Amino acid sequence: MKQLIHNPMKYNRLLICLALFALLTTSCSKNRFDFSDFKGVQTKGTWALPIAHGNYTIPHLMQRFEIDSMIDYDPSGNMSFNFYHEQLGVISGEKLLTFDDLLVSEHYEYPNPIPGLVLPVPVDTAFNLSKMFSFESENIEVLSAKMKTGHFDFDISSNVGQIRQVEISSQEIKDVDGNDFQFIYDPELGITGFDVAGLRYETDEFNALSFDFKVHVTVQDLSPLDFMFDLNIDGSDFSLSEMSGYVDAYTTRTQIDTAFSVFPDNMSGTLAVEHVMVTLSERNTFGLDAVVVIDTAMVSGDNLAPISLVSPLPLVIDAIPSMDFTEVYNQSLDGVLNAHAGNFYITSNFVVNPLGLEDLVTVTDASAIDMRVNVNVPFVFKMDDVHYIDTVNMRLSEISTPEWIKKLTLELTFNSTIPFDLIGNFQMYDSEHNVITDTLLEDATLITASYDGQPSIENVTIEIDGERLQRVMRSNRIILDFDLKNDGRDVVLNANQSLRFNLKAKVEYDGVIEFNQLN
Amino acid sequence: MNRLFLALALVMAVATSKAQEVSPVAFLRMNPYQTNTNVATDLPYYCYFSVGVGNFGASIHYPRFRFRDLFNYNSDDSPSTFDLVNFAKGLSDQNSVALNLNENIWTFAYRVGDGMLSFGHNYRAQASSEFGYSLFKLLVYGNESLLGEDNATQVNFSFDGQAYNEYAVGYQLKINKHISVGARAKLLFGIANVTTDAFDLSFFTDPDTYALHIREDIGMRFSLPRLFELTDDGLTAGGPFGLADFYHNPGLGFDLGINYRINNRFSVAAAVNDLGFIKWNQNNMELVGKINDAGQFYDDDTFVFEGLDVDQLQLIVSDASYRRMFLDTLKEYFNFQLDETGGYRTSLPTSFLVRGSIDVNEHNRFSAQFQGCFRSDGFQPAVTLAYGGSFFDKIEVSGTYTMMKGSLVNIGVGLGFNLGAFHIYGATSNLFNINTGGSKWRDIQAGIVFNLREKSDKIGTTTPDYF
Repeated sequence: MKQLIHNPMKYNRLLICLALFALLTTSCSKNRFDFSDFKGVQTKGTWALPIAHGNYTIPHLMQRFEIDSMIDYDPSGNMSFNFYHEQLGVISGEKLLTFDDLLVSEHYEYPNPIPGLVLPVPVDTAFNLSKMFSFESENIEVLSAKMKTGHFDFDISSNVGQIRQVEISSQEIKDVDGNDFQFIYDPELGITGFDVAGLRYETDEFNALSFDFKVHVTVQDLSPLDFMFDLNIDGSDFSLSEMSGYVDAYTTRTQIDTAFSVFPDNMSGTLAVEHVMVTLSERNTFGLDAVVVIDTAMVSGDNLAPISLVSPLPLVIDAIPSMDFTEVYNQSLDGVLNAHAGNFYITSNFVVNPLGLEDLVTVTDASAIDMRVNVNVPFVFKMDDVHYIDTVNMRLSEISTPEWIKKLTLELTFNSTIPFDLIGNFQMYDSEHNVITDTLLEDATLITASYDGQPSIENVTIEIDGERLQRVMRSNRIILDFDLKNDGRDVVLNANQSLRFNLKAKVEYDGVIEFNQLN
Repeated sequence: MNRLFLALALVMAVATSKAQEVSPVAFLRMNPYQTNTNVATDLPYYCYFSVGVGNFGASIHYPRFRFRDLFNYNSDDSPSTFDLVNFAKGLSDQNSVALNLNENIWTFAYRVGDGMLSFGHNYRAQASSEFGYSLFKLLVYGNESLLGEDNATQVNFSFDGQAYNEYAVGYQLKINKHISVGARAKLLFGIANVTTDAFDLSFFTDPDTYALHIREDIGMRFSLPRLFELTDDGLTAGGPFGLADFYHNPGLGFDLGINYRINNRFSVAAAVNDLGFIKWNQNNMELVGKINDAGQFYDDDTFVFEGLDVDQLQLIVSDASYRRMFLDTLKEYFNFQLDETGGYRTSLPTSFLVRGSIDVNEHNRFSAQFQGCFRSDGFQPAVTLAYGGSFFDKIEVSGTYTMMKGSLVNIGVGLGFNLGAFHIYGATSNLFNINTGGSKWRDIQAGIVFNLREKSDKIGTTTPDYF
């Protein structure tokens, strides 16, 4: 040993041997530092995540299904479905106080006392014409009125020289000072007509109207045998804001045909309802007697016998003049409604001044006969085979599901005070291939009815793993199918009832998260 | 870019140090660099000097896992995946990653009267990162096993580090045969700094609803060389970077020491090192992270995710553009703000020691030392029992046994050779790396220094602090 230590060559060999031994026993492969084929991170664990939650009272649910506009709540939260229809101006004074449009023509011809004469210089002269006619109306005979709209347009031509101006006046049309209305027709300036808005109409003969024309012409050639004038009067858009005169019996027919939904469209089944209140009200501001005759009033639905809302029919209602609505019908009835939809259908005749032209009356354009229909259905009903189905579109295939996600556990919790059971079927659907890809839930009780106001809690767990997870993620729709049941009891819905739900998930992962998946 | 900057900060923190090792070099009695521990040490040299190779020290602290266990391998033994589970298993409740570098660029010392005047230039980098196991447990295993307020994940990081140049002037004076004192003044120039004021995250999962509650409070300050610049686009590559950039952040430091020899056998010493500061003036930035009020998931400085409402959920699963917008919105809650900030001051990691020694004979000395270091994460004490001996006038050895917080068994050795005019040495303070608590650590200190003996003394016979 001593010799070995003092022999430099053998000393070096010893060192080399020791180094080789050390390398063989302690070194690792050089590939262990070769990261060219490095893929990512190996991991394994479980994340618990909240997915969705909601807290809905009955009003919130009604709002979500867009049927809240017809729901009323009293201070205790009791609910009723309220169909309300108001028809203003079933007969309106505005419609009554109108005249038809006018088109009046007249030809005037006078013999020339000195035919063939040509004057050395032009001379101004005037001719007087007149025309009488009537406003046309089937319903009103007017003695005086305040004119709301209307327009007269004149066209006057002659073979006697050139018409310079025409002075037009009417004894029946009065200006704001009560004077006969006068108008200068001047074709050279393009003034050929006038509006009657704001003017008054006064006559001794119903609806009569006359115009006097003083036609100013400049003449030189008096050679024609006859002097001729042609007059055209075009009247349009006549209405009155107030009139005094006689009104004939005026009749109009109305029809209300309105679809309504008690529950969402996707719900089927029937609801037996009681104590449905039907109320009719009218308002007659004409100052004239009127009559309403209802000949049809019913609620109809698919495959159900129509429910007559008014009995007996026809119902004749005297609409006494009043500035306020008067309730003229109020009755309760029972029936069976479709859960999802129905139609209100009412037809009626309205007659103003049924006795006709007996008395001198005054009518304004603000006068009207208005109608209100109110059908109130308390939310107390029996359900029969009520079913709700809906689909939710989704694009899960756009959300990549890496292979290292092994299992998805969905945990649903429902906390409800709603008085019926909800049995759910959830199916995943691939619309491109028209196949049900997976049944997530089958006849699962999601909500247990609460009849005493105490919340009932249901927990539902859905476990999805393996190939099933891939199938679910290829789906683009989820079909939600619910049965509503309550053991034949009365369903009493109240605004204070609520549904809370919570959806959470556990995501189990085990595998390699590749770096290229992190983008 | 802010996240890039955060990653950079993490890397910096990972590559930094703890500076609490008790080096066996301090007990190699002929080694001039024992004055790094106690500037009052009386050396038997007329002069000594070194350039470049005088003293290099490095230490690294790292979690307990083994490198090869962190990976799964392909058939050809190349790494295929990083095994997060094994990584997490290798962590303790509290972990540290640290690196400490100390390079003596040059040293020159010569005797003046009864003392020795010394000059030196060192490059030093110190940084450390402390982190708990809880964050990685959460990231690796998920939150299923951490449901409930009692299991809330509290994440407290600390990233602190600085690199600087140190120009030192020291003087050791032997007052009489009992007392030797020393002092060293150091002019410092900071190069880079990371200071963590706060890095607190908390994560809580409601056991009933799985609602996630996340809070964050992050405040970090940086002073970086102009390799990086903060612009409107965030942190970008800057430059040019020149020698002058090493001299923008001035500081001062002091080392003080005293030796007292009671008699021929017993002596005591005390020293304070790195008492000082650096004022960081150049390219300072501040990173602030708090939960932003970005909408529905914000509640009292907390991100609270209780799930989506039904309409949102339907949009998420059916509308890709909404999904993208939603994810972008989520990011807004966790936005980090990186801004320029004014100058700030950091303290040096001041340490002190108290040592008692007994010389069994002229060749063998036993010492007991208590030392402590004030760091950003608190006072770090350590107790060392050491042996220093010399043989054949050419060889000196030292051995240390150090107990420190979280690491009770640390056995170090030092070995030095006196070969004429130069002294070559090497040491490590943790030879076996056993029972090191939350993390492992390795260190090395080595160098070659040229010296001229004051007299023709042999080691152990005329060592100035032994008579």
